[in-house]
Amino acid sequence: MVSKVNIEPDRIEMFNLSAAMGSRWAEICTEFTAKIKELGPSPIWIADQKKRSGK
Amino acid sequence: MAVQAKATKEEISSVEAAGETSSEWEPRILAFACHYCAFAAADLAGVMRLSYPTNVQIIRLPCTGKLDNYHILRAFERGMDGVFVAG
Amino acid sequence: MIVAEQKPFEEIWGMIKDYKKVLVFGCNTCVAVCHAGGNKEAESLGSMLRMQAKQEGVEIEIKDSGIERQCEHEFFDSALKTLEWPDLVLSLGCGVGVQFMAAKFSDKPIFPGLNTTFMGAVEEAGIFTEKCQGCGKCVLAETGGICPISRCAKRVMNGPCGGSTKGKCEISKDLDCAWQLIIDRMEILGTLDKYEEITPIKDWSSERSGGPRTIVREDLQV
Repeated sequence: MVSKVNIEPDRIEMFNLSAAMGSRWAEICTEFTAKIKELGPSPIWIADQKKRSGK
Repeated sequence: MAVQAKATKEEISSVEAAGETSSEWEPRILAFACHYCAFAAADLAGVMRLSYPTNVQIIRLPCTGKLDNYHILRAFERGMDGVFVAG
Repeated sequence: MIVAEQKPFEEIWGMIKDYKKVLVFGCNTCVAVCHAGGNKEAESLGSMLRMQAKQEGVEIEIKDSGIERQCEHEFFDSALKTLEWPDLVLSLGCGVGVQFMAAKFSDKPIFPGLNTTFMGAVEEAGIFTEKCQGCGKCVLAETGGICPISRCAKRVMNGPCGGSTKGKCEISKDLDCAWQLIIDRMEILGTLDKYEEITPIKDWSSERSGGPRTIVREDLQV
């Protein structure tokens, strides 16, 4: 669905974790942030940016 | 995975643009978390004084079953760069 | 229920992109069950179209809304204000809903967001199958509860035809021969003797080939 509007499906993920997994939470956040950094800004952000610079 | 993704046309343009704006761009990430498990885990991470990136903003749900694909679409529409669901 | 499929995203975008104020309008009955045109789908499609517009740099305002049924006047009451706003309505109703709206709001273009396909059932999650063609003269009592009009490719009334092989239809090896199913069911019901009776030529005048149909129920009229 999202790929139809050029958003890479890799930008969405699902994790399972229990209430006791505090460290896993921190790990997920770190890993996922790194992954998104690698993917770069979303096409929507780029479009917004373009619009702003055009004005 | 990223290399593979970069091969498509849209990706190349997004990578190019990322290069141009890398100084100001910071990933914005939205987490949908279940109140009873993942949100509690996030809470615990705080109590444990673990550090993790500030890029992640959390929306707490009574249960991740509440989540609809529409909510994820809306997150991207509002400029999120990544969305994850934890429960 | 009426089963429909959402048109390809590119086709929908092509239809709406030259308008300025577009309302994606869901219909929350039949087409919501097949996850094609309910109010939820209207929300999602609206969001996707807004993202598409943003990326294409097109100035277009897209909103989403919906009602429970687009084929009955009463249900529109709550949405009349919302429907004043757009210069184009992308209806996610079936063909009936689109036409009903087009007649009701004759000064506004009402475009279809769905391809309406058939009257069918939810076989299992994600699988919809055609079961009825609305021929206007139901024969299910004589055919073991299996419809030879909607489920036999040839609409044969005294089947099976010579193309039936090992219980499958000649047009596809994945398609059950309706008449094989009818005979099997009649055997279970112990009514195979009825199968021997020749069904006379079907009167198709009650079907669509007799022209568009109208039912008038004077007892219901106000």
